[in-house]
Formats: sequence, structure tokens, C-alpha cells
Amino acid sequence: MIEVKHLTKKFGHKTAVDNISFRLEPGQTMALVGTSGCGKTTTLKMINRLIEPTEGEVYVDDTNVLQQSPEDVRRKMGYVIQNIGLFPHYTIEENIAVVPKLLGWNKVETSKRVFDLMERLKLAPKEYARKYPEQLSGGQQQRVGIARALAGDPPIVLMDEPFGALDPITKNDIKKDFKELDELANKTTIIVTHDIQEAFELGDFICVLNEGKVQQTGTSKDLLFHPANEFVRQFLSGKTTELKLNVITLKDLFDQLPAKKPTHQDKIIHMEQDHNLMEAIAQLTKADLEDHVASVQIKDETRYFTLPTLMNSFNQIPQSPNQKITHP
Amino acid sequence: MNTEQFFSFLSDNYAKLGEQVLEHIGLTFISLLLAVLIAVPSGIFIVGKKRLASIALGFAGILQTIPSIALLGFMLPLLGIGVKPAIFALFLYALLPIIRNTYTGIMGVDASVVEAARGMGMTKAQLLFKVELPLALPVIFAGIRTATVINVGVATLAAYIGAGGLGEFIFGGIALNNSSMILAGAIPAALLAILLDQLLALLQNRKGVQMIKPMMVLLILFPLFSFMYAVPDLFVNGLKAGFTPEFYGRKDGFPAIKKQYGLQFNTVILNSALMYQAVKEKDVDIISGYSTDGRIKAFDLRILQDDKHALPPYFCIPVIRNEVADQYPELVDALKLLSGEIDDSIMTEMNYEVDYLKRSPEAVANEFLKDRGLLKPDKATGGETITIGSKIFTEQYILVEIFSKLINGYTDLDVETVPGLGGTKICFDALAEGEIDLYPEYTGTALQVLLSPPDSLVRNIITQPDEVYRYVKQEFGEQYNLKLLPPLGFNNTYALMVLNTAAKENYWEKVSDLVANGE
Repeated sequence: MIEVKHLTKKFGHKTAVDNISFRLEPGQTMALVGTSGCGKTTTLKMINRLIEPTEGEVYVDDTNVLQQSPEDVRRKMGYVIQNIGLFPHYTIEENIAVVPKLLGWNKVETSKRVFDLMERLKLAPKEYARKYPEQLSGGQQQRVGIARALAGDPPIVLMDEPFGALDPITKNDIKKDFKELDELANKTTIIVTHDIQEAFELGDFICVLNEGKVQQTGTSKDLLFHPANEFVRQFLSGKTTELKLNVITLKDLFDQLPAKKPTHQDKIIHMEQDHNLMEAIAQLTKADLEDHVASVQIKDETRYFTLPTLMNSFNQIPQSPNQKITHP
Repeated sequence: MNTEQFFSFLSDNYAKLGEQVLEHIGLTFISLLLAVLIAVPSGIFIVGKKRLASIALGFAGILQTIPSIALLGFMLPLLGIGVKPAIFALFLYALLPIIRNTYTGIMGVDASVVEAARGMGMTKAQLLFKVELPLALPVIFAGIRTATVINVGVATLAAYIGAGGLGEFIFGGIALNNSSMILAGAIPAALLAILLDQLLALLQNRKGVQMIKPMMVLLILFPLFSFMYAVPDLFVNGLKAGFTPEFYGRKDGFPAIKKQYGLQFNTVILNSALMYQAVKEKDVDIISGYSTDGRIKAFDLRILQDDKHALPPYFCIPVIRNEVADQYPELVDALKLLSGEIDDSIMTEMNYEVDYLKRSPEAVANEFLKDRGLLKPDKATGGETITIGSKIFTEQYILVEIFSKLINGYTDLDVETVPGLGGTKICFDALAEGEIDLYPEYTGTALQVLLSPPDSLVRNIITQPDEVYRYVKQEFGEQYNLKLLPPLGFNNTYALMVLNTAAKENYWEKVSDLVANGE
């Protein structure tokens, strides 16, 4: 659990971060999003005290981090940065083992943890453990960066543009493996990004910042369907359709879908209710079926749809947000 | 100079050369070790402190711009002569490259690596020792390498203040105009610089963690190299002697003593200005000198009697070109007035007055002639000009003044003086080529340095001053068409000198008395 209260940072007369507050439970991920210079990185660095706040407090499990030594605070917070910052004179294994070593773990424990993380981040330990960072590609280096941040099993993970320097293909590969890490389930993660799509993709909650002030904090659906102000609307504009297709699930559209089973159809693709529309469309267009019919079932009720009927239902919601769209 | 001479010099002096190399390495590394111990922490301390950094780097930069010989000069009144001021001066020279490279090395560590390290929860010390220093190591190392090469070069100057090292041969060689001796110091010094530079380059080309081990090796090697300075003192027994390069190198000087008495000293080569100070401060036990040296009185020294006649007699004689002597017999007559007039004690006294009481040679010459009733006013008739030369030490300056006043007073000739012509060879060449007409020479020097007869002959006549005089007179006349006038009376021989107090304490009267202590 992490709670940020009235966090403020002034550099001279300029207020970089102005009175930010939020609270996150274990397992939750929040994306801090905004244009460059909006104060998102400053906010993140105040949490692990790389920057000392001018005002405000940060609580982790009800202890004020400002009353602990900065080193102790940081050892309990994983930290991933855009430029990765691996130690060039350490091997991959030594890089990942930095925090466990600082925490005084024994050797067996440490190397077990290091090798385990390497496996899960698709870095074959046999091949890479003894290598130096410069021998790895940028994507592999950031996998090491993530492993290093998680190695000490910190309850909190802070990520500053973790995928910002990577090409799109590498980025998607790493994100996929990152999201599959089951240990994130009991960690609180804060990700700083300028990319709203990435924020939607990774964040349970999204906090939009502008000029140091919070514009809106909420789920992706809150932002899409209930933008708090003009800034948020502007920030999302141009990407709303794509974002919505990613955000809305078959369950959300369930009531709009036809209940009638098409008569001539033998083969129907069954889809889960939490499939988002992007996934549903992808499956319908890919399926080797004449009419591309799919079904979704919630409890006893079943709905049937084709690509046109699905898009038709979708088009009904953007202007008038569905009441049934709920928070997770 | 030919290669044969060079190699024969090396084979005669290999032991001394070995000593000098060890001392040189020792001087270089003691000062380097101190500089590393001070400069690396200072460099670390000023990281991130912009103002302090520019002050510290500026200060070290200014030290660097002081000419090395001047820096050594500053040290003398503060630290005396010998190894202390040399090490301190070398230490100051080594500071800048190491501080600067430590500072820039750490400042140059990738900011994201530092951010990551802090973000991981490293303390300042962990950040420094685990990340910043290892990554800055190649740059710091480059600074140490630069400082090493600078120190090998500057350490040659240490010989100037009696700290030993390869400069002993270089300065000695320059003083004696002996290129074999110069090169015997210069070539090893150059080789040493190249060798150490390449050795350190070997380590520098490694990176990161791979450098930590060599660095450890180096930390062990530094004190070991430093210790080399003391090695000659451990293995070379005997009394400590401070000799001028000339006395050390000339075969009628120390080599003759060594051969005749079988003495072995722990020798430091010093310039003559520092030599007296060194014996007074008891940095050395024995020094070389001249029997008429004014400082014998000033420093309360005793001349040890050359009981085995190792050193030839050095009766002072005016040497004049035959054609000048024939043309102006009155000139010869005037100079003959001095024959036997200046004995050892008179010459010593005159030297003392000039060297120690800081009177001018001219005033002292005037007084001498007055006392002897030889002073006559300058005729100033504007006749033919006679040119008198001299070597570059006090006694010769006084003699030139005495000659000049005599000639002016007793003849119609005019006199031009060219004192301070450097060494024996320069004076003699000037005379032989007619650039000067006469100068005061010494029988022993003429015999050993200018005529170099076979050893057997030298051995036969060396204990008989009259024989030496006769031989030189004959050979100068035949070989060079030069005329020797009668000796002035004093014998300014090379001599070994000790403090009077030490002489009494140890019952030293003659050179043979040293043998017991020297073995």
C-alpha cells in the first residue's frame, strides 16, 4: 500500500509538482501520464526520495518514508529508468543481484532469485548470467533492468518511461512478458509514461498531470467516457476510438448484442466476456469461417454477433456512454 | 664521444649506475605514492563542489607551472638538501594530473548509472566504491601514468639538491663536458620513462572490474618501488660522502683516491654550493674541496692529509702564450714578482674574504698587492691590450684581478679580463687558439687533464711536485707553444674534508684513517 499526500515540489519560484495525492493498494498499477515537463518524473523521484519534496508526505504501509533513511526506502522500492543504467562493470548476474546484496541476502538465496527472474524475463541464465551489459541488445538490457528492480522483492515498483527507448516490436515483447509476471499481483506499481496508449495498457488507474497539477485520476473508462476537463479531452483526442476498442469488453456491450442465434450457422467461435473489442475483431477477421459468427455467454444468456453487428453496437456507445460501464 | 668510451664508462660505473636507477625509481614512486594518497581523495572530495573544484584544480595547476628547478630552489630553505625537498617537489608535480583525472573520471560516469545506483539504495560510500571509482579507474589511472612520466623526468633534477638519481651522471657529465657520462644518465632516464609508461598502459587498457586486480598489484608495487630508494644505502657500506660532479668524475679526483686507498664510500653527487651545507648539517661525513677553499675556515673544516699521494700537486702557475711572452718581456717580469708570494694560507684567506665576507675580488686583490708592497697605480697609457682569462671559481677571479693590477702598474700594456670561462678545457682551448693570452692553471690539472700521459709516468712523478712542474713546462712548450711562469706558491689540490669536530671525535687526520671506517 502506498499513499501520497499533498506532495509538492518547488524549484525556486517554479512549482514543478503541485499538491498531488493518491492511494494505491497492493496489486494495483497506476500510470502517471502527461506531456514532458508536467512533473511526472519529479513525482516519481519524490516517492523514492531521489528528490526531496518541498511539502507533503509519502506513506508506505502507514510509515512515512520521509522519516526513514533514503537508502532503506529505496531498497524496498524497485526502480526502472528509461536509460536503464546497468552497471557496465558488473555481469548481468551481478547487476540483478545488487539489491539482494544490499539487503544482505545469502548467496544461495540471491542466485536462486536472480536465475528465476532471468528465466521469467526470457534471459537464459546459462547464456547471459556471465555476460556484461554491453554484450546485450537494448531490449535485453531493459529486461535486466526490470529484473534488477524486482530482485529484492520490493512491495513497490517505480518505473520511469521503462519502455521509452525501445523500438515498437521489442517494446511489445517486453511489455507482454512484464504483464505476465505473476509477482506483480501483490506489488504496487507506478509507471511514468508520456504515451497514453501505454498508460491504458498497463495502468489500472491513470493519473493525468499538467503543469504539476493532477487533471484527472481514474480508470481508463473514466478518462474515455468522463473526461474531467478540456485538457484530458485534448490529451486523448485522435486516439479515442482505438483506446475504446481496447478498453470496452464484450461484457460491456452484452446488452446491445443480438440474442438471436443465426439459423444457418454450424460453427460459432465462442469468446470470453472479458475479451476487449480489439481482440474480438482480430479473431473474427482471422477466423476461417464463411460468415464469421461469434458468441459470448454470461450466465445463462448467450449473444451472437458478426463483425458488422459488433461494430454497430459499438457505434451506439461513444456519444452516450453506457450506464453499465463500470469500474473494475 | 664514441660508443667505445660510452660503454667503457658504463662498465667502470655500473655499480653507481645501478644505485642511481634504484634511487631514481625510488624517488619517482615515493612521491607518486604520496601524491596518489592525497590527490585521489581530494579529487573525490571536490566532485560535485563546483567552486571548490575550480579552486583546487587551479591551485594544482599553478604548482605545475612553477619551473621545476625553481620549485626545488624554494624547498631548500624549508627542507634543507637531500631527499626531503626532492620528494616534496616531485609530489607537488604529481598532484595535478591525478586530482584532475580523479575529478573528471568520476564526473564522467554515466548519469543514468549513478541514478540507478542511488535508486537501488546504495549509500554514498557504496556508490563511490562500487560504482563511481571502478568506472572512473581507467581515467584515474591515466592521470597516475602521466604523473609517473612527469616524475621520472623531474627526478633527474633531484641530483641538483643531493637526492641522487640519474641526474647525478647528467649534471656531472655536463660539468665535466663528458658526453659518455651525460648519456649514461640520460639514456636510462629516458628508457625508464618509456618502460614505466608502457607498463602502466598495459594495465590501463583493461576495463572495469578487470582493472581492480592490476590496481591492487600496483598498490603493492608502489611501496616496493618506493623502497628501492633505500636499497643502495642498505648494500653500499661506508661513510657518506658528498662530492662535486667534477671531483667524482675526474680521474685525478675520486677515482684516484679510490684506487690508491681502496676506499668505498656511499657517495652522493652534489653541486659545490650545497656540499658545504650538507657536511655542516651532517647529511654527509666527507666532502671534496680545494685546499685553498675559503669555506674551510667558514665551516670549520679539516683537510685530511693525502698520505699516500693519490692526488697530484696543484701548484698554481700562470700560463702564457710563447709569442706574447717573447713580445712583451716586461709582462713576464711583472708576473714573476708574484713567484712564491701566495702561500696556502694567504690564498685561503683571500678566498674566505670573497666567498664568505662577500668582498669583491678586486678589493681583495688590491689589499693583497698593497700588503706585499706590489701595488702601483695604473699607468693607463693605453698601450697594447693583453687578455687574461680564468676558470669559473672564486680563486681564479681573485688571481685575474691580481695579474691585471700588476700588469697595469708595472708595464705600459692595457689589460682586458675574461673571467669565468667555465672549465679547464674551455680556458685551455681559448689560450691555445689565441683568444686569451694567459690564465692561471694548476700543475696537476695540466698533467692529468690536459696532457694525459701514460699511467706509469704519472705514478713515477706524482709525488714530486718539481718533477710535475718540469714535465708540464716541457710538454706545454713542445706541444702547444705555451710558457709556464714560476709557481705562485700555493698548492690548491683536491682534498677530502671533514668537520673539525668529527675529525677530533674519530681521530681522522689522514685519508688512511678513513679506511677503518670505510670498510
